[in-house]
Amino acid sequence: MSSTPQKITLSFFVKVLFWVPVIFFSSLLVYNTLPYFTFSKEYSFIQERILLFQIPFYSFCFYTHIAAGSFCILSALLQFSSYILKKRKAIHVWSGRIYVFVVLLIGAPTGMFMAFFAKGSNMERALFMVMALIWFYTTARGLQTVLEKNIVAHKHWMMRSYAMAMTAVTFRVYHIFFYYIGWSHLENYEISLWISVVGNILFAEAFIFFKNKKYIQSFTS
Amino acid sequence: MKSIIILSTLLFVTASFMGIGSYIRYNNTLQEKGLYAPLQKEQTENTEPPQTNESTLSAPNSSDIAEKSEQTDNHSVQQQQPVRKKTIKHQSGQQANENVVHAARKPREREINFKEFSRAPLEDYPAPEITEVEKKVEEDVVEITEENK
Repeated sequence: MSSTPQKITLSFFVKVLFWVPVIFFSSLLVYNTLPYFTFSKEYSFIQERILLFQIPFYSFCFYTHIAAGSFCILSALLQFSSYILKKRKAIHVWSGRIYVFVVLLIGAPTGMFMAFFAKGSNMERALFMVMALIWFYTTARGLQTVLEKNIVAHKHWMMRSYAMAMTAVTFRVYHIFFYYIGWSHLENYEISLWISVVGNILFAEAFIFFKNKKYIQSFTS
Repeated sequence: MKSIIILSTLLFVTASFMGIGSYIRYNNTLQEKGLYAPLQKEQTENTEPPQTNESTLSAPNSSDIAEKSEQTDNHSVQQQQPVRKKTIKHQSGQQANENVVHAARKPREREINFKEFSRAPLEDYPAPEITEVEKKVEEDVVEITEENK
């Protein structure tokens, strides 16, 4: 199939429009996570949950979760580069191993534990649990399919996994947006959470749907 | 690599059960102590007595209370201005403007530090309950306004 120069330019422009904010906000998230590793209790996020941080295991889960999340976000940024995949496949493989290892062994289990104490109502807690489960399942399926050499299915499952990882970023973007338009904190928190999770899932599924002729089979392969 | 899937599945299930167990064990205790509530209480204590105290500042018989409230007042400049204006007006003998929107109903303005992108902004402070002293002062203000009429 031949692509016209206009299509190539448009495609490049769309990719830039998508990836520049993703890379920027992901980097900002990781950058703002670093001060937490001073283990100071002065941050408002920790102050809000000061009772929870008195439970040693919760405190352990929190710090390992944010460390794992930082590794996930950074390693995943390399995975969608076709240049790296073609020219430096080893980077893709090792970065992928780090991502899978961190998600399956650290990020998803700790997230699942902390979900039981999430802020908000039981609906939000259930949402976090579902999120942890989806993140775990999609990453495990991504690993399984690549071991079976089913690359197309591997791409689909890892897109879904990345969509779940990115809820951490999109949640904060929505949170700031709704804050600026004057929503109260709890409403803002709940709406941002739901929109980030459901929105990311829909975005990933829409992308897979338009790229894949046999969409339904992407769930079973 | 396949063993990682098995191991991680076991870990995930273990974490789930630990979460359920911790929830059963700690949830009631945390709810009684007020999970997420202590921060609100601390913040309401540390913030300026809010705008309900503006009425105390405008009441001529509550100068002591006004001094105390001013000492603990940490309002931003914008919020302090209407308070001072009311005090000056009242000292000059002018009638309190009853049509001024009660500042407690105004949304508290906060600057958001974009650098703290990953940190949730602080809770909006709930409107504090009016204490008995403040109620009494408000009653005094009403009496004064009626006398002035």
